[in-house]
Amino acid sequence: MNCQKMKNLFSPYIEGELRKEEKEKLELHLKGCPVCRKELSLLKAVVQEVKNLDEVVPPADFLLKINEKLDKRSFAHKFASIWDNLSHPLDLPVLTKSLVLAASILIILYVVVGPGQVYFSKSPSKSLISHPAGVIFNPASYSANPGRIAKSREAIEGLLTFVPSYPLSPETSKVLDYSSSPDWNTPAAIGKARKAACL
Amino acid sequence: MALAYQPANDALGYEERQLVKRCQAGDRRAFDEIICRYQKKVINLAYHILGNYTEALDLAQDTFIKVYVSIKKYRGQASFYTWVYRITVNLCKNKLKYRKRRGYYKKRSLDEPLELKEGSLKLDLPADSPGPREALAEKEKRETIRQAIDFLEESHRMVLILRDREMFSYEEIAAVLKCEIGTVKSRLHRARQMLKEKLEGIL
Repeated sequence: MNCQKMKNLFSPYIEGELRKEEKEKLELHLKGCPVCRKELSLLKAVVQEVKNLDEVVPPADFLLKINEKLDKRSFAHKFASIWDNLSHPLDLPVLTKSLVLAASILIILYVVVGPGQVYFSKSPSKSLISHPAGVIFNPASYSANPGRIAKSREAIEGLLTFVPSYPLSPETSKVLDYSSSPDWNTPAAIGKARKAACL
Repeated sequence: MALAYQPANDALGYEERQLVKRCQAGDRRAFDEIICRYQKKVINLAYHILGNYTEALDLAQDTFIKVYVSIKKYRGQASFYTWVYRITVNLCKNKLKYRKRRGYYKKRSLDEPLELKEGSLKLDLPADSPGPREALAEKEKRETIRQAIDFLEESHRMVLILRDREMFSYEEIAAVLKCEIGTVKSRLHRARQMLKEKLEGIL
């Protein structure tokens, strides 16, 4: 009788899963083989030791801590869902959403600071915000540096392409209606600026 | 074979299904009830797989948060308890992988003399308690068994703990680990053999 073959039966033997003839064969072998008897008792001891591994108890505040985590999570979740709902019609990926947000902030900033100070400053160096987009609307720089104008226009067009489907609010249209400004007096530049703003 | 954790009768099964439904509808009290029912089992399972109480508590918390977040996706295709334990086991697997990457197992070897925190052991044993020497020996033995289990390969360790410590049936283990019953049996046999080889001089 091969001891190695018998060893493979030990685990199912402990589980009580051996067929009758297999079980009898093994028990017969065990009677005559002290090595296998020792092996089997050792294996039984191992199983018993694993069974006896100490049981741990949950701490008293376990439930409380999970609830705290869930509360924090649900706050963040609510914020995320508001943001999702806002941008739902566009259904854009996260990166694009962030760019849209950045573009909106820039536009709002321009609106708040006011076109008089940014768009229509006589000299770019005196602008409150020295952003290239601000220079587009400076009539002086139009004649002085056409290359720079084209570059700046590209920049603002790039920003504005992310919000194409949103109609402009009346307030924004008003602000963007540069023709009403007394300082604005070059009709060709008006057309360009409008086009740039609406693209 | 009787399943170890399946609710004993239909009434209990029905109650649990109602609980899950309420939880799916966003009822946090129903979720509290689910936590109370499963916390001990989940913590113990994580503790015996990871061998560290603090890590097991963190993992159990993550398990319940994951259960809460994804309970709407649970469609009743597997028993709920199997689903909960599968989440626990999967998080344990991730944790073990993370440890492996961080070289957690390279620092220790069973051949080296057992390093125990003597101070903590002595603190636990009052001088006049009966048989402090035996208690110390018992504690050292447990620690050695613990370390030997730590050395088992992940798949073997899972089956060994689920079967011999947590007393799951083969069917339950196969459902939790998503594998065949035959695989469970062979892994269990292999795990016991390996553990026996490691503990030969101690038991």
